[in-house]
Order: sequence, then structure tokens, then C-alpha cells
Amino acid sequence: MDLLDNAENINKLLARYGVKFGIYKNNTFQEQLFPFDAIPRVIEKEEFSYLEKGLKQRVKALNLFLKDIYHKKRIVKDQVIPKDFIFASSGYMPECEEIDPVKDIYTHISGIDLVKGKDGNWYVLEDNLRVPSGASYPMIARELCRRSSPLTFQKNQIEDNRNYANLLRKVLDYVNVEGHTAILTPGRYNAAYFEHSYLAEQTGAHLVNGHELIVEDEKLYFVDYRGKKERIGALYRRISDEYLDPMHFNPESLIGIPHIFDVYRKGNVALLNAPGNGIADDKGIYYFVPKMIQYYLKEEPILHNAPTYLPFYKEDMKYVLENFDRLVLKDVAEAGGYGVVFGDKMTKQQKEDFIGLLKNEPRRFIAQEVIDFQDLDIQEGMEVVARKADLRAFVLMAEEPFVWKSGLTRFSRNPDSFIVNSSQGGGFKDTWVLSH
Amino acid sequence: MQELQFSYRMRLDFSEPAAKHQFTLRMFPKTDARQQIMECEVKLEPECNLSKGEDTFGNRYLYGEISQEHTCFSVEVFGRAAVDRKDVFLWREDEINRYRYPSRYTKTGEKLRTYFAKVKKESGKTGYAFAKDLMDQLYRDIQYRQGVTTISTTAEEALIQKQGVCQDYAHIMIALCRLEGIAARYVVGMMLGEGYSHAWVEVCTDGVWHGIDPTNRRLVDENYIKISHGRDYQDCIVNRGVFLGGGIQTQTVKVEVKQIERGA
Repeated sequence: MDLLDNAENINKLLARYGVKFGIYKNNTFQEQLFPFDAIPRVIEKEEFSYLEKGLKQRVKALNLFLKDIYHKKRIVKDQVIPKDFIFASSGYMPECEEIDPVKDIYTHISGIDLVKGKDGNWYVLEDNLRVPSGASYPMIARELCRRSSPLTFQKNQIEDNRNYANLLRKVLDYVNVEGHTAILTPGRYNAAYFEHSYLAEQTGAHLVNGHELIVEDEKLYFVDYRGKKERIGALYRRISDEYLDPMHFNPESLIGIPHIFDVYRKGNVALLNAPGNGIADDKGIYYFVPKMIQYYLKEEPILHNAPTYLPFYKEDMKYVLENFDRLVLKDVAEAGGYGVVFGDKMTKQQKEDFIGLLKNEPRRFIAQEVIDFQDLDIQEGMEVVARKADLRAFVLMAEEPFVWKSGLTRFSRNPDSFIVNSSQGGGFKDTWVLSH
Repeated sequence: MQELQFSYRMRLDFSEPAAKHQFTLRMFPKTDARQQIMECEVKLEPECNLSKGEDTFGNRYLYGEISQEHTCFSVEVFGRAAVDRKDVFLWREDEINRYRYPSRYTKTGEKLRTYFAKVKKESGKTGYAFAKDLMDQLYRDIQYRQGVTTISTTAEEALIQKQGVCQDYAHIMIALCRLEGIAARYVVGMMLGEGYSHAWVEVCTDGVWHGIDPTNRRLVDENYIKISHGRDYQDCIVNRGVFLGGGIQTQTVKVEVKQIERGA
């Protein structure tokens, strides 16, 4: 297949286009290429339509959950979720209480991480509802692959994934209250800067940093280099809540926009995604997502979670202690593959310390069965080797949620690792969804 | 009940001109069951347009922007208040949930946990009685000292040092109350006399908010005027600002609270 022969060229082009992933660790910033593997992940049409149904259902429920948590909190009053899991979570932001985001949408862009087990079932591992990144990588990779090997795409019936920008634009326009649309980036040292600039270019939105936006008369404006002001009605902000507005959150934020939160609260700008979403992608809340689906939609969940235990519940704690060596334990406050430990990889001392911590702060951890997920083939030099891979599916929400017919497939380059996060140095693949 | 006259002066001097100065001020006492604000005026220099807001904790704030260059920014808030001794009833059950768990400044570490276990064992009480024991104990164990802690010192750090100012006393007290399962919040306000603004604690037990001032080992009475409350210091920052230039900034705060003589 000539696509594979061109793999090296495509990687060179990706490097030239600046497809990079910055990693900030131990106080140093390193930018590394995000290695692309030319063998695509292929998902059959039927299989994808199953995923699609499940993903839409899941995101719908998560969106309803967010509205409920920041208003009536029925799900807590009805004792479906213990209140400790809401109010003790760092993702819960009382500042967002009683705010009505435009058209009641919180989860404009969701990145749902799934794996396919060796048993053939898909499992959801994580919901990313704050600023999930990654859509731009398969977009540009597809573009380059099509150029280097047009025949491949003529012979195979593959859903075109280059429409992501249109889908995103549709969401931005749907919630825009009046004026222009912009993508807010913290700047070129951000891990996902390539993505910010690429999405801006592809959607036709302004790419702006905090200094170019100002608040006046309780509205948000973009000031261009000539000093001309344009009202912004929808802002796809790629900075976290904490840094959004130094007048309301972290007072030391230099990348935020003073008073933007006041504008948002008055309904004078749509922020994508809504502030406060962190409560819904908290690892402790993850356990309750299937229950949310039953509670809000009165439906049975289509997609399954990985089997998860909450040491917070006595019977789960017992199970976790008895099966410690089989399980993976995750700190609910951490993200990006950090704070994840495998029971069987610990020394005796580490294990004792960890169990002490677990007993002290049971709410801080979740335990999961290690899912033996399917390997995907990747090229390594001249060889083809098998590596663990996951899939980040993107769900966008306007009137209804819709699923992008592609996704970011990430793989671990280390043969023994189950952790595929790009911030841990993994690579990516294009995801082909077949159209027949 | 007594009537108080108060003034809160805050002044920011810049060594070089500052411009595009955006600010948010949370320094306006509000009428509640304990205090009635009969008069409250604000003077701001340089003058500018102000917008009003109320945050999720119920604090009122003013915000605005001074675009022209200036070397001094000053705010004066003054007025009259009638203050009572009584506690404030909780009017919405679920509003206390946000005050029951560790926040940025009140995260529990090893030191807080062992200290808590010790005090709890010695006191043996629960609820408001326990909170009062905590106040006594903190007053004995923590030394009031300026300059050893900063605005970013956490409860855990302050307890390790065993020294600090009202902000630190309040944070430690809040962290310990929350360990006991008592909802506790941070309060910024003014106290009878002359000096700086003050911080204390409110704990909610049996549906009532009780004011406790661990720095002075005193239950909050009619000599205290409350300005704002929140989970910890960060929710109550009196003046938040972002500006261009400015060089070195020096902040001066002067608070004055006097009794109004009856018939005067």
C-alpha cells in the first residue's frame, strides 16, 4: 500500500506544519513531535453507528447532569450521587451556580476516551468535557495522506473526516449571541498550540490571545492591531477555568481576560465549553455516568464503563483490598495519565503506603479492572509491531449531539505500557470509519 | 445593638504610571440579620465608570477600568451600620455544602490531621462547643506575628509555623472545622477601633451561622462589621487588579470604626 511507503514523508510534512505536542514537566518546556503512524485504525460502519448512539446518549446525560448540578441538584437530593462526590470535587465551581449558558449547552465539544477490549466490547475510560484536544491531528494527517496516496481513498470507502471544522463552526454559530467567533489560545507555548491555530484557520474564527480581548459595557470585544473593536459572541476558549478571569479565579492569571466571567454570567457571550464542566469529568463522577443515563434519560446505557469500584463504599473497599494486585488505581484529582498506579507494579512498601493513603482518603481514588485491550499494528522501522491503543471520539453539541466520524487513535510506543496519553509521549493514528 | 460609623480607605501607589487598570472591589458591607447598613458611600480616584455585580457567595462588588495613566488608585468606603449580637439563620440548607470540604487554602495535610486528632481527643465535644474549643486551642498554640506568612500561605503551612496573622488563624480554624464535618467559611470585615481590615470565621451548626474570631479568642459581637464571606481568602480578596506598567506598587489600608454616641 503506497500510503505506508509514504509514512516517512507524511511525518516530515507534519513536522513542517508544526504538528507538535508541548510537554511541560519539572519546570521545563519541551516540544516534541507527535509521531504519526500511517496504518489507520479501521472501524466498520455498523460498529461505529453503535458507538455513535452510545456516545450521543452519554453526552446528553452529562449535559443534563451539569445543568442539574448548577441548578436544582435533583440527582443529589434523590441520592443517586452522594453529595461528597460533588462538593468535595475540585471540579465543582460554586461560581457557576444559577448561571444559564446559552441554550443550556455545557458540553459543546466532548472528547470521550474509549478502548476496545479483547472480548470485543468497547469501554469508556474517561470523559473529557473541559478543553479536550486532539481533533486537529487526524484532520491534518488525513489531508496529507490523501495528498500522498489519493488512490487509497478512492479504493476504500471512508467517511471524510475533514468536515470537523464545519461541525465545529456549526456549534459556534449555534450558540453565538451576537458578533464574531474567536478561539482563545494561551499562546504558542501551550501543548496544543498547533491545534488552536489549525482550528481557527479551518473554521474561519479569529485566533486570539487574552490581551486582544477586552470587556466593555458588559460585552466582550476583540481589538485588532489597528485598534478596531469587534464584538465577540462566541468564544472557544482553550484555557482552563482557573485562568479564565483574574477578577474571579486565579488572581495571578496573565492569560485570562478580566471581567469575562461577568459578561458570561449576563449571557452576553457564549463560552465553549462552559465553565464548571470539571465536575462532570471528575474520575469519581465517572462511576456514576451510567446511573445518570438511567436517571435523566430513563434509558439503559449503551456504552459501558470499565468495571470501576469506589473505595468510598465499604463493600467496594473490601473488594479493592482483596483484589489489589489485579486493579489499576487512579487519583481522581489527576489527569493526563498522571496519578495512575497498577497494583501489581508496586513494591511491598509502596503498596503498604498506598493502602494507608487509600484508607485515609477513600474518596480520592477509584479502582478499575485492568482491561486487556486490543493491540493495533504500528510500523516500527521496517517491522510491524502490536501496541496498545485507545480512541478519543469527539462529540459536538448544537440542537442535538453529533459524533464526528473519525477520532484520535493514540498508541503507546512502549510495548509494556497501557498509558497512551500524548503528554506521556505516545503517538497517533488516523481513524477510518467505513461508509458502507 | 449599637451604631457604628465606619471608613475603609485603600490606596495603591505606583512608582511608575499604570494604565489600563482593571479592578474588582469587594469592600461593601451588606445588610443581613446581624447588621443593618444604613449608609454606604464610595469614593474612587481617579474617577471612572463602575459596574455592579454580586457573586455566588452573595458578596457585592464593583468593577471597572481606568484607562488613562495614573500613579495612585484610591478607594474610600464609608457609612453607618447598626450591628447586633445575634447569629444569622441559615436560609437555604444546600448553601452550606460548598463550605464543608477542603478548598485551595484549607487542604488537609499530615500536620492538620494530627493536630485535629489531638484537639478532638482533648475536647471530646461536637458542633458549636467543639468549634469554641478549637478557638481557645488555636489562640494558645498559634502566635500572632506579622511578616512570617504571606497571602498565599495555606492552613497547613501556617500550622507548621505556628505563627501568622488573622488570615492564617481563620484558615487553620476553617480547615479543622471541615475535618470535623462542620461547615465553615472565611469572613472579611472590620472591627471597632483603628487599623487594618480583619478576617474571622463563621461556622454553621444547627442551622445557624456563628461568628468566631480565633485571632482575638472572641465570639463575634456588635463590634464587628462583616464585608464578605467565601470558602477561603481567595473568594474575599478586597481588591483585585490587573494593569500595565506601574513599577513597584505599595498598598496602604486604613480602617476606622467608631461608636456613634446616642443623641449626638
